Amino acid sequence: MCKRLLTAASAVFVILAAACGDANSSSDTTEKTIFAMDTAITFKGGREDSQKAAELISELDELFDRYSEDSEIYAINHRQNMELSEDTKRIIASSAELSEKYGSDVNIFSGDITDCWNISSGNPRVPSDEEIEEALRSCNNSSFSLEAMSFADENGSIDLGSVAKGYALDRVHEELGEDSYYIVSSGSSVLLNGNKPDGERFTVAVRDPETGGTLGTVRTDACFVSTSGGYERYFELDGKRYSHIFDLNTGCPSETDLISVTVICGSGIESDFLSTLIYLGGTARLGEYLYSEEFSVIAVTEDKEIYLSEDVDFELTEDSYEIKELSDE
Amino acid sequence: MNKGYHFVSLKELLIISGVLIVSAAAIVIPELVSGDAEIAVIQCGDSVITADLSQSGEFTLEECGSTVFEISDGKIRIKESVCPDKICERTGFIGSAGQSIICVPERISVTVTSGSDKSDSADAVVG
Repeated sequence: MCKRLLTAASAVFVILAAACGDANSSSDTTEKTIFAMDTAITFKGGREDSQKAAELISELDELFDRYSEDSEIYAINHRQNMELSEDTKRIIASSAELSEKYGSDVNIFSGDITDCWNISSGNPRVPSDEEIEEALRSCNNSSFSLEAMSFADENGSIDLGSVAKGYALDRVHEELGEDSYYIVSSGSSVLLNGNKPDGERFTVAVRDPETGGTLGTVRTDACFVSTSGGYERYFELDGKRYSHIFDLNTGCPSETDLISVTVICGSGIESDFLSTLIYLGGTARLGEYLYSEEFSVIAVTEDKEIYLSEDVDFELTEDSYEIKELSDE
Repeated sequence: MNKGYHFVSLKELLIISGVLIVSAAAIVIPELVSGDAEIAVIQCGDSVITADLSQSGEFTLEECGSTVFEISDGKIRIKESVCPDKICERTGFIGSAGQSIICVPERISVTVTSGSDKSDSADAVVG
């Protein structure tokens, strides 16, 4: 009887489990999280789309991770001969183009600078002036040839940190197309596509750099959104806090008066690149970007002031901040 | 054979009904209880665990190695992690829907979601 009972009981469980599973998948959309590109990436959308996006991003991560010996960027940085994938060639060429167009304060040939601060090891140190100068030279006068896709001498290395997630979102968008509804979120960069099931516009919460809570929300149509800030990832040396975003003019961690910059536009790699560039430029250079017709900006200063592009539909939810207009000083 | 039509004895029937009721309760009650309360979805590698943020206390999860979580005052944090960079510990307490803590080295993500399906919660959080 015991055996029969067990069988009956397991049947009950199976039925319940199946019912339960059905309840959870009542719609076609699913949520899925993977760990790649040094962060957690969440997909919302159709099951098949989410699976495709997850695979694509994992593949790109394997190509772009300069600390992984099997990656193509590692091969380039260590002067190994390797047949490069289209994606590696494209991200390098697009990044170089963006540096040319908007300014080389964000530059993928800056790997030697982060390396000489020893950040990735978890044991950061302040490098000597000579080390910084050498790293700066390899970055600002890089011997990298876009035709050969290689460095001509032994100085310099590539770090795709400022563009990899944005590029990955562009590729997901290419792969999944314009029509279906999906959201890919990597923490600092988000891709929103299609029409929401409830027909509303998308709402993106911008994180409060001080508390980690919500600073305010942006309403948008399908687009790419990226945020840069020095607040979450930093390292401490002798009691001083250093940003993980580097100033390529000084070779030191940036000391901008902005604490968070969000860029909204039609390209993932551009929003990723521009949020870092504008963040580095500080309020002094904000006027060059705030009025652009190609992208929209939300910039937050250390004095808790917020500057917005005119076309941003932003609602402030955190009272301790204040929305300001840029003065013509 | 005269008792052949008793596929299930009374005793068995009672036990099975018991199992049914308990299982159904296990599915329905959390939904009722959670109401407006926030829950945290903790993902460790491929395992997904949910935690009720109204239950204060410290805990570790088998799936998440020796990471220590703490729930207090409706908020959750990673109190101790063996990861090298401690970004997750520095994130501190989170308690509003959409907020998250990420520990990349240990492959852990903690996301607060609203128990009730609030339509005003954001589609994504950036920053």
